[in-house]
Amino acid sequence: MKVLEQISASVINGDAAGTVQLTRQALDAGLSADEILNEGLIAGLSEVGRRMESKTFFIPEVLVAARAMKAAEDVLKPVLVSNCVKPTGRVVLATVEGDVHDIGKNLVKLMLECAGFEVTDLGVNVPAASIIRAVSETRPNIIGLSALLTTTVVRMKEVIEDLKRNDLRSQVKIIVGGAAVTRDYAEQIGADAYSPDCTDAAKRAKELVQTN
Amino acid sequence: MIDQKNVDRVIKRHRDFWKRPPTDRPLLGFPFQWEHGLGTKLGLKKGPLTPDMLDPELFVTFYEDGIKEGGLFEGDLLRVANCQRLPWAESRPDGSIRHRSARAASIPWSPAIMGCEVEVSSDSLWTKPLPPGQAPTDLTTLGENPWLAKAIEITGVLNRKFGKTYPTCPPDVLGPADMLAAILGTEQMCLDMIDNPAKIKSLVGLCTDVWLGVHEKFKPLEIEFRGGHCESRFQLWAPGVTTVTQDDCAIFFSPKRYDEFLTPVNRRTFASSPYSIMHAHTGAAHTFEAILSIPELGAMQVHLDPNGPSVAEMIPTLVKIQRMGKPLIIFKEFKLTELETLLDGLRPEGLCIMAISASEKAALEFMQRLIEEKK
Ligand code: B12
Repeated sequence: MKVLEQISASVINGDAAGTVQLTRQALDAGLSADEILNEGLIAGLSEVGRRMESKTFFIPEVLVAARAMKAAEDVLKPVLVSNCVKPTGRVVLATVEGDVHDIGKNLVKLMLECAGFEVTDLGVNVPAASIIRAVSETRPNIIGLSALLTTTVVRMKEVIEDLKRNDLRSQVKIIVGGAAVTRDYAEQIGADAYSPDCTDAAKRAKELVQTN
Repeated sequence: MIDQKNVDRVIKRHRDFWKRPPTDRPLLGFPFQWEHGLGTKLGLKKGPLTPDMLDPELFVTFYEDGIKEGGLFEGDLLRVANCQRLPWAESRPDGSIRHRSARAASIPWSPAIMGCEVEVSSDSLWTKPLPPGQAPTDLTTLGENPWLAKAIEITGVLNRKFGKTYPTCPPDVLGPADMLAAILGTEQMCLDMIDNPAKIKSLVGLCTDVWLGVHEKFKPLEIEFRGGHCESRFQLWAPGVTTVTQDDCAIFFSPKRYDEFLTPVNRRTFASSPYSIMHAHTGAAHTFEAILSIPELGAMQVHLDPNGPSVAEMIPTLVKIQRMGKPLIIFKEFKLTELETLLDGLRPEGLCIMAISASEKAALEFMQRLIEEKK
């Protein structure tokens, strides 16, 4: 098996130590950080996403795969930064105020990063004002909002209204998701996209930057 | 005043729900939707909640107001007094005070009993995982647990106050999977499933011991209503003690892991009382088979998640539950057409439908439209 395939397999198996070791080995063999990232790590994680969609993998498998990928990324980061690869786009991601559910959001972050996005994760329980501040500061292409509670989905509408008030709405696309959000609701509040899961979220985000 | 004849009629319907003789229609209930800005309404500062902050009298006044204003019934379901939801006082334009509460103000009693810190946020109450190094409560320390003592105290006050005229019951105790996720944190629980399955097995066993122990501790209160017992989650009466196992975190278990870690403990929780209800979500439909395979299961409650399969898509699964002879409770914010699909697709025997509504007014309007459509 070629080393890149081995890296993918090791991500799929959630073997962090193995993934780090193989990544080092690949760098030593002269493979580019880009190649290792795209054809090794990301290829592995994409397969994890597919297996989750087909219900052969469950959230624990995804989390250990993500852990393996993160560990290897730390090895690659210094090399990647010096090569300066251009991201697909920038996303500001947050779970809205009053809501502390973040497993889904974290998976979305992972898949977005996998699709080449640079993600600023504001965390959970994030007030609209902090989202507005982050938009002004980082000028993202997209804002991703997550909510799992019926009581907190309304916060998404508040964020959109605050963006309008601050003349920022036309500068960013908004994608929403989380168990309490429906496609109808997303349309109703004027979001640009809705996605029911993390693999679809990455596809929608790519479409959003392409139409921009 | 509570109309006793109506109580008899409703109790008969609930008895039939469990026994499933032929019937004209299912049980129908219309619980109301959540309140916003809850933290402010509760008059609690954002931050930790401790048992000494809970005054039994607040719960008593809440139910006194409730009986005065709404009586005992919510559709076919019973209002049951317990300390699950934290009430708040609201001033009315005429200067009088009314007590209210909401689903999101649900007190996480069993994570708190396990040792988790409870937080009040702007919209809800939630718990933090146990800090590293802190051992969870076990049966040796359960007896002196301040959260459990408070729950028993409030439940006792409510039971003595309302006695036999208004049903009372203990608060929700969740289920082993949800207690485990609460003490470890969901993400850590998932990682441990792969890194350290022995730890998961031992902790899930401990959570089950505490779950059973907590139910045991309420027994001396001898709560009873009309020769039977009620639970507050689905507002049902049964001829014997009813327990509810909440299995929200089943979503994190593959069918294989569910069978390995949770099927054995579900068997213990179901077997512990003559009437048991499993609360499950369509997001974890891959675990239903394992749950239904346990003969001790009393009834299955399926929460139809907003982004899950449609009502029509779920009908075959729901029919299967009915065919296995299990009473079925379905919970969802329904559109009228969805409710019709459900009523057409399922047998009314042993069926209870809880259609979430935005307000009492919306519930009444919805019920009226349903009756008109059916004419
Ligand atoms: C785990 C969990 C918790 C954990 C959260 C831990 C954490 N770090 O996230 C804890 C214990 C803290 C918790 C607390 C509470 N919870 Co909770 N929780 C859950 C549970 C079991 C699973 C959620 C989850 O992680 N699912 C798995 C992930 C992968 O799915 P997901 O989040 O939907 O994400 C996917 C998609 O939605 C989408 N997506 C998600 N975000 C985004 C964002 C974008 C931009 C896009 C495009 C897509 C997208 O992609 C994701 C991956 O495919 C659910 C029940 C359930 N079975 O769903 C209840 C649930 C969400 N919780 C609920 C409740 C009520 C609460 C509490 C109020 C508890 C209480 N007091 O009763 C508190 C509230 C705390 C707060 N203020 O937020 C209710 C909500 C009901 C409602 N309709 O509002 C649920 C449905 C359970 C129930 N019994 O009904 N909870």
